[in-house]
Amino acid sequence: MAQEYVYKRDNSRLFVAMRDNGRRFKVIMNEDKIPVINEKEEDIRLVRTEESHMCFEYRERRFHCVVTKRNKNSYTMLINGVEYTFSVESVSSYLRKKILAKDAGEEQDLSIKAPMPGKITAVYVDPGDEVNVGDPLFALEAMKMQNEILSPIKGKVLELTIKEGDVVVKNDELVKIGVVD
Amino acid sequence: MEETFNTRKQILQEHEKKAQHKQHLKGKLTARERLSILFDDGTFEEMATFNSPYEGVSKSSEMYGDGVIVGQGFVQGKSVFAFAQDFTVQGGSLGKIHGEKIAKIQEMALKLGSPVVGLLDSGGARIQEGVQSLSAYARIFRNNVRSSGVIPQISVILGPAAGGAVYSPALTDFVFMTNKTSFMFLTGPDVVKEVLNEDVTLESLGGGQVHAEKSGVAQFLYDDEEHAILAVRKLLSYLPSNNYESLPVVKNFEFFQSKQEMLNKLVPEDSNQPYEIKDIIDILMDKDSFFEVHENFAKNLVVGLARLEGKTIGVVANQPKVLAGTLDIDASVKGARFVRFCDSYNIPLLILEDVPGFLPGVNQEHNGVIRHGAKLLYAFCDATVPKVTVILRKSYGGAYIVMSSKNTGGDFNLAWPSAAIAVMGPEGAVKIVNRRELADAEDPVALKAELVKKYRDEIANPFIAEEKGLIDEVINPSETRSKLVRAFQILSTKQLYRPSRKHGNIPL
Repeated sequence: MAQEYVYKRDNSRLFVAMRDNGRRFKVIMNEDKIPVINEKEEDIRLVRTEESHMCFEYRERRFHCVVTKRNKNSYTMLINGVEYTFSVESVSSYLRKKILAKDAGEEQDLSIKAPMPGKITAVYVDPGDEVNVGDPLFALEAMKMQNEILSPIKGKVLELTIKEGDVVVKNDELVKIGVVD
Repeated sequence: MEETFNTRKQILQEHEKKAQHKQHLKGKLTARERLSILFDDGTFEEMATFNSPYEGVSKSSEMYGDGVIVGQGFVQGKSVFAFAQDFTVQGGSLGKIHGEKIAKIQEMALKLGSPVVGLLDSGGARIQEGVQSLSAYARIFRNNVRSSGVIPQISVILGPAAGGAVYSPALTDFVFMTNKTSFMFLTGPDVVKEVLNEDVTLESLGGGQVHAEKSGVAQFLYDDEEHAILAVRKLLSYLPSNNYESLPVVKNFEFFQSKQEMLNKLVPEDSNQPYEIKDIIDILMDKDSFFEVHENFAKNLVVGLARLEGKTIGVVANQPKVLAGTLDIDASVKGARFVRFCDSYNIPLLILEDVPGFLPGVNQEHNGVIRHGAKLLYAFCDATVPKVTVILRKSYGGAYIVMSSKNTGGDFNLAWPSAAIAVMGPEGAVKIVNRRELADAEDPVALKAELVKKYRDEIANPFIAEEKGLIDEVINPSETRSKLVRAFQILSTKQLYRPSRKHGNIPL
C-alpha cells in the first residue's frame, strides 16, 4: 500500500505512519522479512487479501482491516471495527512537516459561512457543544437538495446565528467554532 | 581529460552539499533530489550542465549551468524530458542561458514526442540581463503553446513563480503546487500594498491553497514535495507520450465485483437527498484507479482520470453533494478544460450525470455563465473521442443538453431507471404548465402532488426518452460496469473527422 509513497524505490522501505492523535510509528518494511516498527521487530503476517478487506495476524490474534477512505497519503481504516486515521510520511516529508509546523501560527477560530443561498432545515448543535471534524452542524436546503454542513475542524461552538427555518444568503456567517486546546 | 571530469564532478558535489543545506532548512528539496524522485532510479541524464551564464553577469563557479538543470530520463520506462530550477543559484532567476536550456529540451521533447515536466522554483526574470531574460521567457511560452495538445506538459511549482514566470505553468496541461512553500502571482504583496493599499500575505495572495480552491490555477495540491512529484509519476502513468501514441494499458487490474449490486441502492430515491458521486465512480472503475483532477476547485463537478479494464478513461461527473450538482461558471470552465485535454490525447470520456440545471442568480449571469457554460458545451460537441453518458438521476434543461446528450454527439447514452429527463424539475414544471388549474383548484396541494406524479410518469420518465431514441438503453445500475466495458471496447475504433478549418473559435 505504501509502496508508491516511498522515495527510494528499492526493496527496503522506511516510512513514518502518523496517527491523527499525533502518535507516530517508524516502520521499516523489508520484502519477505519481519517488519520493524519503532526499532522493534514485530511478527505481523498477512493472512489473506480480499476485494476490499485484508486480514493480518499479530500475536496470535487476527485483525481485519478495511480501508474506508483514502486521499493522497492519508488513510482511514477500520481495524476490527474501530476507525483509525493516519498519514504515511516518507523521511523527507516527515522532516518537512516538522520544520513547517514550527513556523505555523496558532490555529484560529473559524466562521462557517453559507456555501450557497438556501433555507436552514435543521440545526444539530447548540452553543457550547464540542464538535469533531466531520460532525454535522446544520442542514441547508438549496436547489431542492438537503445539504448537511459538516464541521471542518475540531473545536467548540462559540456562536450560532441561525435557527430552523431561517433563510440565508451566500457567505452569511452562520456558526463560529473556536479551537480548543 | 580525466582530471577535467573529476574537477567537474567535484564542483557539482560541492554545490549539491551547499544546496541541500539551504533548501532542507526551508523544508524544501534540492533540484537534483527532486529530479531523482521524478525519474526511475538512476535514469536521469543531464544536458548542458556546464553552460556558462551570459556575458556581463558575475561568473562564480556556482553559476555553472545558470541555475537550471535540464535533461531526459525514464518514468515507468517511458522517456520524459524535465527541467528543474535551482533556487540556490541566483534565486533560480531566469537569464538568457537558463531560458535557452529550457527551450532546448522543450524543442527536443516536441520533436521526439515525449512529455515535459517542469520543476519550478525561481525568483523570476534575472534583472541584470534585462530584455534578454524576457525574450527567453517568450521563447519558452511559445514552445509551451506549440507543444500544447501534442505532448503532455506538466508544471510543478515548488517555490515562488512570480510575474511573467506564471504564464509557462498556466499554458501547460497540469499545475501541481505544494502547501505553504509554493506561490504564484503576477504582482506580489508589496506591489499590491503600494497600488491598492491592501495588506495581503504571500500565502493568502497566491499560495497553493488559494490556487487549488479559489482560482483553479493549480489542479493538484500536495502537502510536501515528495508526494507531489510522485503524483506526477502517477499522472504520467495514465497518459500517452504524445497525441499519436495509443493509450497505456495496465494488464493487472481488479475491480469491486461484489459491490456492483450496491449500485442499485446508492442513489437515494428522494431527489432531495444528496449522495457522494465518487463512491459510484470507485465502484464502476478499476480498483483504486480514480485519480481526481481539480479536487478542491468547483467541487460541484468531479473530473479525473481512471482506468476501465486497465485502459485510461476520463470521467466527468456531477456531484449532488455540492451545490446540488448544479453547473456554474467554475464547474463549466473546469469541465471544459478537462474534456479538451482528454480529447487532445484520445482519452475516451465517461459522463455520469445527475444535474438539476445551471446555478441561477445575478452573480452567475453577470459574470458570464452563458459564455462559460458555452465552453463546456463546445468542448463536448467538439470532442471526437468515444463519449458514453450515464444519467443516474436528474437531467434537466440546458444542463441535460450540455452534459454530452445524444444530439451533441454522444456515442452511447444510457440511463438508470431512477433517471428523470425533462426541460425542468416536476415542481417547477407543473407550476408553469398547470398554473390556471392550480389557481382554481379547491385543494391545490393535492392537485399539485397528483400533477407532479403524472409529470414524473409521463414526461420525465427515462423510458420515454428511450422510446424517442434519445437514450440508447435504460439499464440496471448493477450492470453498468459491464455495459461500459463493452461500449468503450467497440468504440475504440471510432473515427470522426471535423470539417477542414484553421481552428474553431471556442468561446474563451
